[in-house]
Amino acid sequence: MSHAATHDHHHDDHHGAPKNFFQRWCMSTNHKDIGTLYLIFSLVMLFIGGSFAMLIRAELFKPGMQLMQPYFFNEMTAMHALVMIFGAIMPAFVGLGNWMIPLMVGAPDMALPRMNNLSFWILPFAFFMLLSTLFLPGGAPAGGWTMYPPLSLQTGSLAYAVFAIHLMGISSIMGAINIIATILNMRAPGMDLMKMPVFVWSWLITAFLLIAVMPALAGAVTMLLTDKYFGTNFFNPGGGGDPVLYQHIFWFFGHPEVYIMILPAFGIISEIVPTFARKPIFGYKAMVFAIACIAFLSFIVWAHHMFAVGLPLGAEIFFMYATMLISVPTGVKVFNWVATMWGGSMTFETPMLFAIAFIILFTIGGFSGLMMSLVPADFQYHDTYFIVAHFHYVLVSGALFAIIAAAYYWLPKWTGNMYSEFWGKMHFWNSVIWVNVLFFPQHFLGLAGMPRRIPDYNVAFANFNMISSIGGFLFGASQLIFVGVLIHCAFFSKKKATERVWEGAKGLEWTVPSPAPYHTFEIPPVINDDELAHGHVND
Amino acid sequence: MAQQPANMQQSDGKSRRRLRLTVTLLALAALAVYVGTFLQAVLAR
Repeated sequence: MSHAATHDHHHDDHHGAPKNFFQRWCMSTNHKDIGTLYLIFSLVMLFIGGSFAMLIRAELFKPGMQLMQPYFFNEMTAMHALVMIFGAIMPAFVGLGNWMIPLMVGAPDMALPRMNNLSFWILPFAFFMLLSTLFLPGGAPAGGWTMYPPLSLQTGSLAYAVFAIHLMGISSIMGAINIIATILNMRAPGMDLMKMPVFVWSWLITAFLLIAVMPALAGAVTMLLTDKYFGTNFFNPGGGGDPVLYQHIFWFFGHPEVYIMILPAFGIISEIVPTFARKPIFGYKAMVFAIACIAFLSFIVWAHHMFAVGLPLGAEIFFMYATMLISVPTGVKVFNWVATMWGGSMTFETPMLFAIAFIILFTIGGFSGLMMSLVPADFQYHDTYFIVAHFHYVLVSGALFAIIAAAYYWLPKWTGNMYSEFWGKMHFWNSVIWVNVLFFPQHFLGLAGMPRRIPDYNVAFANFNMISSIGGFLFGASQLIFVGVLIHCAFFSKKKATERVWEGAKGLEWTVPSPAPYHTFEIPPVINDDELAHGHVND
Repeated sequence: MAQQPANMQQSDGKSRRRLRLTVTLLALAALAVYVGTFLQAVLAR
C-alpha cells in the first residue's frame, strides 16, 4: 500500500454525461445525477412542507380563528409532517447517500443503477398524488401523520394517501436494498468494513432499519384501506377489531423511522467534526457500535409513544427502561464528538458551525426525550406542545441541520466551486437563532398544558405562541439565504474548489477532482490507510 | 443508456451471484415483514 488512495483520473471522464436533457435527468443511472435529483426534490419538498408550517404558525400567531377553517388547519398539520418526513428529510439523506457512498467506498456506481433511477422517479408521482388530495373533494389527510383510526377513516382522500405512502415505501425499500448491496458488494479492494467512513456505516444500518420497518407501515395502511373500502374490521371494535392494534403496528414502524431520520445525521456529523478539528474521530469502533446499538434498541421501545392508551404496568415499565437505555449509546456519540474536538486545531467554517449546533441542539432534544420516557411524567407531556418542541429539536435542529451541514461540506466536491462563506455564516446564525426562538417557547407552552394539533387556544398561551410564530417566519425566511448560496455556488461562484477542499479532510471522496467527474473509480482505487479517515482503527 | 458499473463489468460469476443473493434475501425480508404484519394483526384478534 505504498501510494496514495488516488486513482488514474484519465479513466474518469472518457465518456461524460449524456447531452440530451431527458436522457441525462430522466433516464439517468449515474449515482451522482440521481443523488442530485434526490437533493433538489427534497429541497422543493422542504419549501412546500415549510409553507404549510408557515400557515400553521400564522394561524397560531394569536388566539382565535384568523385565517383558515379548523379542518384546513388539521390538513396542514398532517400534510406538513408527511411532506417533511417522507419528502424532505428521508430523500435528502438518500440523495447524500447516493452521491457519497460510492465515492467513499471506491465503487464506480450503485450496485443496481436502473433500480436507483426507479427509486427516485417513483417519488415525484407519490407526492403529486399526496399533494393533489388538497384539491380533491374529500380533502387531504387531516388526522395527523400517524393516521390513527377511526379518525383517519373519517378524513381526507384516504385511498390516495395510502397509495402515495405505498409508493414512498417501495421507493425507500428499493433505495435501501441498493445501498446495502452497494456497501456489501462494491467496496474497493482493501476497504474493509471497519475502515469505512462512519457515514457509510450509518447508512448501512439505516438501510437495514428501512427494510425491517417500512413494510410494517405498508401493512398498517393497507389494513386501513381494507377497513374503509373492503369491509374488514382490523381496527374497528364494532367488528371485533382494535384501534390500539394500529398504534402498535404504526409505532413499530414509527420509532425506528425516527432513527432512520437521525442515524445518517450522526454519520454526517462524524465526518465533519474530525475534518474541522483536524483529528481522527475519537472512538471509531464505539461510534459504529453505538449506531448499531441505537438501531437495535429502536425495535423495543415503540410503546413509549402509547403510554397514555392504558398499557399494562409491566409493559410501561419495560418500555420506560428500554427507552432510557437509548441515552447510553447516544451519550457515547455525543461524548466522542466532543472528545474529537478536544485539543483539536479547530476552525469554524459553515459545515462545522452547523455540526456544532447539531450537537448542542440535538442533545437538548434528546434530554426532553429522556424526560418523556418517564411514564408518570409522560402522562403530563402527552399530546402537548412539549412533544412538538422535542421532536422539532431532534428533526429540525438535528436532522435538517445535519443535512445542511452536509450540503455545505460536500457542495465544493459536487459543483467544483466554493460557496460564499460569508453568506453561509449568515445562513447559519439566522437559522440557529430563529430555530430556538421558534421551538424553545413551545416547551413552556406544552408544560403549561397547550395541546398540539389545535387551531385555537386559551389566551394564556398567547405570548409564547406569538414569539414562536415570529421565530418561525424568520427561520423560514432564513432558508432563502441557503437557496441563494446554493445557486450562487453552482452557477456563479468564481472561486474554484481544490481536490481535497478542506485541509483536514480524509477519505476516498477527497482524492477525486472537484467537481467529481461523471464517472469515478471505474478502476478500483488503491487503498492507502493513511489517506482514509479511519484507516488505522485497529492500531 | 444504462451504464453498468465497471466493477460489475469486470466481476466474475461468483460476485454476481453474491449480489443477486444479497438483493433476493433483502427483498424476501421486506416481503416477510409485510406478510408478517397481516399475520400478526389476524392472530392478535
